[in-house]
Amino acid sequence: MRGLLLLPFLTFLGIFFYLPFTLLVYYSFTDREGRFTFENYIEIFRNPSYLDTVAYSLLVSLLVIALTLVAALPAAVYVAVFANSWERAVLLVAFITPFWIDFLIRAWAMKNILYFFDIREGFLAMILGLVYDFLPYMFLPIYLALSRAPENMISAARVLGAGWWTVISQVLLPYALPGIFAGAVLVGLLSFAEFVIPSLLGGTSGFTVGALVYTLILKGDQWGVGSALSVLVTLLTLAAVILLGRQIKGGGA
Amino acid sequence: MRGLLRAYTFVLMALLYLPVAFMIVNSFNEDPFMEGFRGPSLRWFELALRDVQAAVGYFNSFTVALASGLLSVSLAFLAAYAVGNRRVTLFDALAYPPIVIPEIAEAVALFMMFHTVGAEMGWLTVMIGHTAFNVAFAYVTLRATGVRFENLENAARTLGAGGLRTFKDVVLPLAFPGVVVAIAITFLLSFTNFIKTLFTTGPGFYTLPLLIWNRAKRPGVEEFTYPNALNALFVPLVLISLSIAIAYTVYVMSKRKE
Repeated sequence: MRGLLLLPFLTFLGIFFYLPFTLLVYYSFTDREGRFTFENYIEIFRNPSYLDTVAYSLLVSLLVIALTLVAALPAAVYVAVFANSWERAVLLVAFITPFWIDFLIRAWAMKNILYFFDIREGFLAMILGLVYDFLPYMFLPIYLALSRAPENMISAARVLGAGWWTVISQVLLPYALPGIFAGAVLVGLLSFAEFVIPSLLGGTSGFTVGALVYTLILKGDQWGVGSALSVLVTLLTLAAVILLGRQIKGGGA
Repeated sequence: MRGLLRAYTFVLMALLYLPVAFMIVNSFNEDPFMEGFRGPSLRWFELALRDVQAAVGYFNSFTVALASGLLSVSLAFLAAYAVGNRRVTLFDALAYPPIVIPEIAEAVALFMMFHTVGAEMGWLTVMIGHTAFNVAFAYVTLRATGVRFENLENAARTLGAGGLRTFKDVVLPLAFPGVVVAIAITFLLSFTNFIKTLFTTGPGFYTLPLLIWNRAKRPGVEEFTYPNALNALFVPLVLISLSIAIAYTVYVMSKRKE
């Protein structure tokens, strides 16, 4: 009886999630005539224009990781350590809410403010858009990591004579580190594959991996390389999630 | 130190909502472009009321989202009910990937499958595409808000209620708020979805985000594609998004605390 109730859910996911991904993997190992090949993967690393796009996206991701970290860390520290319970609830809701708003809406909203300050489509606009959109993904893991620290830990350290620098480096940072790592992985992966913000705000600087996949599949009819890139992004993500899952379990939640 | 961090945190929070504020202000901007404010006007909302394409887009987004919300929550409810309060690691491991895998990879995979089987791309393929993500999301939400109440169910059984009666009079009323919240959030994610829709639609079928995207690519070509005309189309989407998102976050957070 119980198994029967699981069946509709599993069937739907099987047909419309796991089957498409199987097909994606199949196309990534197939040439235009349907023969088995590694060419699509080799092509990503051989063709300079693909390789440049991947390298450029990596660079963009690293920059976005650094900027979101700098922006989110002080706020996460405040909410997790200093805020009273009422403030904490309000701030958490405020920082989580943008999670649920689609990227197209947020990217367009961002364009309004960028244009007001005369920042046109380009590298700067794209980076600002990405930082704005991925901030919650950095904030939340750091907040969760810090909220595991025992209460009054900072006052204890202060009473025992620790200066602010000691408190930050010896008390806060060790607790925040797993969260920073998780946030960096999340933000890096998301910016790497992101497509809406680069194409809406990036202008000529907006040709990232996400835009490349879009062009290969919907404009260029290049299923082979397009699916190979999608498979790589998927594998990277799964590896990161499994790694983070292990780490969180190891951290003794 | 504390005061400084506090000030920073509230400024950052305000910054998160500033772009949306600019968008709303600009939707009342007499000027067609976003560079400066020329004076208050309702012209873009009046234009939106005459905008037949936008009405079609809203209608399509709405029907797709409603169907996807109801379908995904129905499937997820049955699964969450069967799983109950047990930890089912393997089943959860199957249910989570749609949530974590980048949307563009999911979209490409669906695009290829629909093309391979020669499916007619349109309302149904878009709805299915949204649901493939939503069903996993609804499952996680229902697991968090709870659909099994073993003690109360056992009490009802002991007092002589049959299986159906227990389900109807105990499980459903208790699970109802969580179900409504799950339908609301999956509705929202589908209603405003862009990437999945872009890859799973076919000629002639479009949702509101798709229409706005196409217009944003040719700003100012006609009155409907002026940036501030697009802002006016976005404003209802933003207000719906914000209200559902806040309600969802508050509800799930309060459940987690219990």
